[in-house]
Amino acid sequence: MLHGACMAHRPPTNSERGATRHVSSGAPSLAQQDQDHLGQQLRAMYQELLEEPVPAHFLMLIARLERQNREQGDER
Amino acid sequence: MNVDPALRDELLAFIPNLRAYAYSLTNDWDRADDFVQEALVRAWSKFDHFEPGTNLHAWLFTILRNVVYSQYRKRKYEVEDVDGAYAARLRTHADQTSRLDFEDFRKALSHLNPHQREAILLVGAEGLSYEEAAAICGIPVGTLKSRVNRARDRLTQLLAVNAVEDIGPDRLTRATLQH
Repeated sequence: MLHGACMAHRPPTNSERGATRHVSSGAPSLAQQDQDHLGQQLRAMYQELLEEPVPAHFLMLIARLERQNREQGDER
Repeated sequence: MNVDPALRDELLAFIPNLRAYAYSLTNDWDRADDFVQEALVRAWSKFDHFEPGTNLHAWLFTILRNVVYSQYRKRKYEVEDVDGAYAARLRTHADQTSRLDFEDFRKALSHLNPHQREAILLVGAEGLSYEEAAAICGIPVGTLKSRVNRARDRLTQLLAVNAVEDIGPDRLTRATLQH
């Protein structure tokens, strides 16, 4: 079940890094530090949500949809 | 049509992401789960249009986004009262301690315009690329990038104001005046 959660925390792609291209080498600027901090806060908040247990009714819903497919298949 | 069990498992694995995203928009698990449920049913009925091996993550988020927007169109008033409604829900959530740490952040997020909020959530929280997020929103990559940047700037501003209010002169002044 962690597959999706892991994807949210893969390394940034080139296009994401592109967002910070205005920052030159050397010590990060204050604005850059703010942005990094903001990004960390956002991911931490989101991570907490990702860890919420999935209610059982979702699993039942998928099981029901699968059963419907099978029954429709049998009718044909 | 029968859905491949491997694809079904991938779908199940994305439910926490769909819920996290929907909750980030609504601050309400019941409403978030209504969105997710509708998105799952739609995804299931369209699985025969999904090409295995392509991007299920982006595909599911496109469907979820369409569900959210069609609900918002049905209940237009909620979009108009977005700040007030979120703020009220956030206040009720303040008592539920587990999320207290992120309360300021969540409040700031709720004050973004909906386009900016969706952009920063898809890229910054959900970890989709700019290209994927732009495709999900049906806008050019440049537009998506500028929405993300504006969202970052606005969040930084809002959080700075919160921090000042927490420790700042206003509260001190009020406290002094009350005594």
